Amino acid sequence: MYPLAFAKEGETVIVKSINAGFGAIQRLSSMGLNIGSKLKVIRNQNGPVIVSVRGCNIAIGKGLAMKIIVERV
Amino acid sequence: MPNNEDKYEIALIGNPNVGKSTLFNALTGENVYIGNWPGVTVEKKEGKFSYNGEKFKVVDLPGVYSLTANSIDEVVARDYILNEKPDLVVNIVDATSLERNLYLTLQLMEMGTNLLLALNKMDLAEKSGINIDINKLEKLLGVRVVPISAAKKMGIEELKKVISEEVKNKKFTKIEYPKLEPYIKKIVSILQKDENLKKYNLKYLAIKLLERDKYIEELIKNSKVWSELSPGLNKIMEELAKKYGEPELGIVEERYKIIDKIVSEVVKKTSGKLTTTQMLDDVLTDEKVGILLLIPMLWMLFKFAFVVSSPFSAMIDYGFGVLADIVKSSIPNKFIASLLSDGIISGVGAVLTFFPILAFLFFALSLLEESGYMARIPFIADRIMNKFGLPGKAIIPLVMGFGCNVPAIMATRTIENEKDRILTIIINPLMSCSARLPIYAFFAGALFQKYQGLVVISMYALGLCLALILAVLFRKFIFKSSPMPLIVELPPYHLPNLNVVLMNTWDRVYDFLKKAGTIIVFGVMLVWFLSVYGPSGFLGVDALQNPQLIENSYVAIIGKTLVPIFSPMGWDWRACSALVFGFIAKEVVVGSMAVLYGVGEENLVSILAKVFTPVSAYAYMAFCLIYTPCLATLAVIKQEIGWKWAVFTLIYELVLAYIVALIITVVGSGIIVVCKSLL
Repeated sequence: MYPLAFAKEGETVIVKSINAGFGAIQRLSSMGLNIGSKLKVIRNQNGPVIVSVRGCNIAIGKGLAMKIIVERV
Repeated sequence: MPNNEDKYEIALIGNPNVGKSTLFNALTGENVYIGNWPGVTVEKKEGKFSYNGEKFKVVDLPGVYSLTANSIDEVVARDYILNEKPDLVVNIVDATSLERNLYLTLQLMEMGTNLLLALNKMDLAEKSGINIDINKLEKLLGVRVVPISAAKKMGIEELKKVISEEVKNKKFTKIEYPKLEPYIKKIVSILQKDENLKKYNLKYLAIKLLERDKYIEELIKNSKVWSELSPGLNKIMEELAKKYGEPELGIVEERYKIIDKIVSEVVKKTSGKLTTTQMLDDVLTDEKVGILLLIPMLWMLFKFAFVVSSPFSAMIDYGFGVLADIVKSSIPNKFIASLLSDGIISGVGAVLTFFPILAFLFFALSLLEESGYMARIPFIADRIMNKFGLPGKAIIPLVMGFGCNVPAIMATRTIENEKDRILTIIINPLMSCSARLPIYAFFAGALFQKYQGLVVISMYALGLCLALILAVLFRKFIFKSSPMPLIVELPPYHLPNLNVVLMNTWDRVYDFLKKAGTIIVFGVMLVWFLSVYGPSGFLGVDALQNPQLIENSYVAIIGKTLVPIFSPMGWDWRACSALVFGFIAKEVVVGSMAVLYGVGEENLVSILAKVFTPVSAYAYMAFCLIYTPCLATLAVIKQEIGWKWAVFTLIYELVLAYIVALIITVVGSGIIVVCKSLL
């Protein structure tokens, strides 16, 4: 298990926990990213991370991506 | 506007980027009324259509992903549905990402609304190999589903027909979360003892309590059953925490369980080839290439908004000038002639010269937004902007500030977080807009002939540096929170719908003309009044052209009072009075100086060279850059975030301008002394 910020481009991962404030968790869940959802990492360079989740691409700031703990499928 | 003729009221709700505006447009056509939701700056759009002789009022709710209490948009949408109880809620859903969109649908079902699903982008879904079994979806949700393509105007008539059927067929949606049902029943059994809560859907209140919704918690805490409810609720929360990690995650997980089940039965995917969006994003969101492409993009935007629009502004300016002259020469009463031409006409003219700039900028911005590129900009700029405590989206208002702060401040509306938005707005006037250039040009020409370019550029750099430094300071000492972490959907790229773009543009421009316009006209008239009146009474309308007369006006008195304050900088009362005029619009400073010194603008340069030293001139330029946002900017700050912040901006800028001018004077004189002693 490791933070989403460390995931590699092209990798598919499952969200294990989100250690952020409740507001951020609710926003992420409403956009389709909750515990147990499967993400495909589209882009992870120096800036925010782009993941594809439930058919949509979402960009997540690096700081928040550090708080999303994922596991490789 | 409420209208008794409208038989039915329907609400349109959906996620951002699902084509809600396009559908709203297709349903209602030109028939639109724009206002604000009570108490907030969120825009409210209403339209009308008739079907079979019956009239329908359509209320466009803000685009939201969810109905929590976390953002103004969500609260507005939720309050409306809860309190206004529309006859029908039309949930517009993106067929290409049904999974994510159903999250909002389930929350609407929890509220027990009379619901209808408009399944949009069916054409795109088919193209990308997504097949949706509509009959099955209807059965599973217990809600009518109408497939449409708003962009292609397909299925709109059918949708109208189903709307007209469903408004009469009042049935209310229900949803069950098997694992949470026992808890919900327990809570409902207690809530129903309070008669005052009967107007709400109790099951919905129970679910919201499980979700720890602050807003509903407050509501229930005021109820008489709270003391009976709270021990049991705490126990339930503990149980949920054990099962789901956090109690509030329980409901989220259960919602997605139902969604996953529905999607697995209803959606069939056949192929998954590389889409245009993927190809474009490979390039546009690349760390290095993305930035390289963003710069020309912003440059084009800037040129389009400020250069292409400028002949139109000049035409309006000229037209009002001519009109003012005609009025002046044709009305015999000089006072009324001057009031009309120098006060009212030039005030209205000042407002309308913004019209082309705003129209061009918002046309371009809304084009970018509709195309999908806009969502990528904060992604690219996020890291840099975050260093200064600003959100990624702040880059557009910052750059646009170099053209004009008014549209720049209005462009902050895309920033969701209120604190982030206020911060981005209050530093914006420091970005040196094009109206300040004439001041720099005159002074640089008069006192820094050899280094004109460098001196002018240094002003722009000074403004930018101050804006960024203050962003860091305000963030640290006033807002005391880090910028909202970036969470943004990157919608697929698509061709913008011209109607939607034009309507968005008109919304923004109209808003400005209506709200900021009145303040600007009033401000221009106030300054006119102060310059033709003095303690001795009316000075005669020639005061505006006559240096001897204007010396006795209130403006001159204000200027003279200011002289001691500015004595370290060595500015005379004329320079100080010109600052008062500069409040209307910064470019007015130059013209006012010409009047005050009693010369034409063409001779102003030689006068300035005599009256100012290089140091006092440079300090004056910096002061003009920083001191007070111009009247229009102030009006637009008030329009966007209220008087409190407008006054705050005014005061901090005055103080900052004084400090910076003082530093320039002290350091500048020091350098000169050192240079002289070396020679």
